[in-house]
Amino acid sequence: MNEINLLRPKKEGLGGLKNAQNILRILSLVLLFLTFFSSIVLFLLKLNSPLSSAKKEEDSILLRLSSLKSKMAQFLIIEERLTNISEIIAKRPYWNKTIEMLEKEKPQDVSINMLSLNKKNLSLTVSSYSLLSLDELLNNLIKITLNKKVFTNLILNSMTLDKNSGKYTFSIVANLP
Amino acid sequence: MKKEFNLNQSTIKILYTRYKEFILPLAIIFICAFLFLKFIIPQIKELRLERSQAQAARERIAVLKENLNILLKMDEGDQNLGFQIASSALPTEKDFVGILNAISTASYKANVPIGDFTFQVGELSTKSAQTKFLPSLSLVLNIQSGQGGIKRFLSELSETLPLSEVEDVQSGSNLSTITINFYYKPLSFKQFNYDIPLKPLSSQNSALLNKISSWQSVSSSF
Repeated sequence: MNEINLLRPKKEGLGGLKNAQNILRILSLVLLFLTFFSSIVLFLLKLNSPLSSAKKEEDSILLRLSSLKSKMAQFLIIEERLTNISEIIAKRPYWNKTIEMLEKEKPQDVSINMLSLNKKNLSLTVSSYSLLSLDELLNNLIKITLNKKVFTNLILNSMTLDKNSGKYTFSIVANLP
Repeated sequence: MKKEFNLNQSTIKILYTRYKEFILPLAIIFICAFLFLKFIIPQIKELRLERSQAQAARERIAVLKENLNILLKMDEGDQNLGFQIASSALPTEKDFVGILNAISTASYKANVPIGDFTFQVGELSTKSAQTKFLPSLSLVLNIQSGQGGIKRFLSELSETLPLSEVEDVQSGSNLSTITINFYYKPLSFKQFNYDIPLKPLSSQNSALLNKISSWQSVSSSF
């Protein structure tokens, strides 16, 4: 037969339960306060959100800018075209300067029979009655190649003499950098 | 001896009487935890996101304001002139009239007679032309002159609009042939954004515009 003890054991008294109860009460109150406080703070922060005012300001500026759309497009086109123009001016060859340089280096009694210029090379056929003048031209071209780096190399393709006229003809090819 | 535990009504009553003081605090704790996890923490995250969005919007507004100021300060007359000069230097399409005008101006100023010429038109559809970086119209031109005339002609042509690039020169004593590429650039229909930061024309670009405007005035006056 089971016996019922009507007296609680001393160790299991109300003290332990009371403590746990107090701790739970305090914890629940703290949590309740925290929830309430953070809800209020969040509500206020949401109410004063800078995003909506920023959006309104942005919309008003965009409205003003839309009236200047064609002006802005025109400006962007000018800027883009000027960039392209400066690129073209910088990269295009100025053959007139090359021809001018050849004329400067060429002795008076040497004539250019044929001149061909493209981005890769320069072909030149020159003639003169004087071999010395042709030699001078060749030396000048070699100097230009070595000093000014106008040509990367210089090749004397052919050297002919017309016995009837006594005219020397040189065919020169220079590679451009 | 094994104890048996029966959860009958009297046991529940005893448990309730003993632990009823715990029910309310525990319920509050659970509800608060639920509110924190389900609402407050997501709201904090959303608030942080809004803050960063607002910061981005403020930066965008600063750019838009700056763009607006620049556009308002721009003189419309100057800008139209600049647009006209830039467009005649680099036309939006194959500008046959401009090219013929440039050639006759250069030949007139260089004092060299022009012979016959051939246009290598290439792609007529603008769609294919738009895919290239800078399309050009090629022209083969015969000039009745030797190196001296060619030199003068090339020098004048380099300062005439529309912009061109001489690709090839073949010159004899009295007759020369040159291949010239005249550049053009079709308008690109990109997505237009107001928040592209604008800057007033740089001093380099202004100088370039002035330089090519003098080229244009020469060709126009001819």
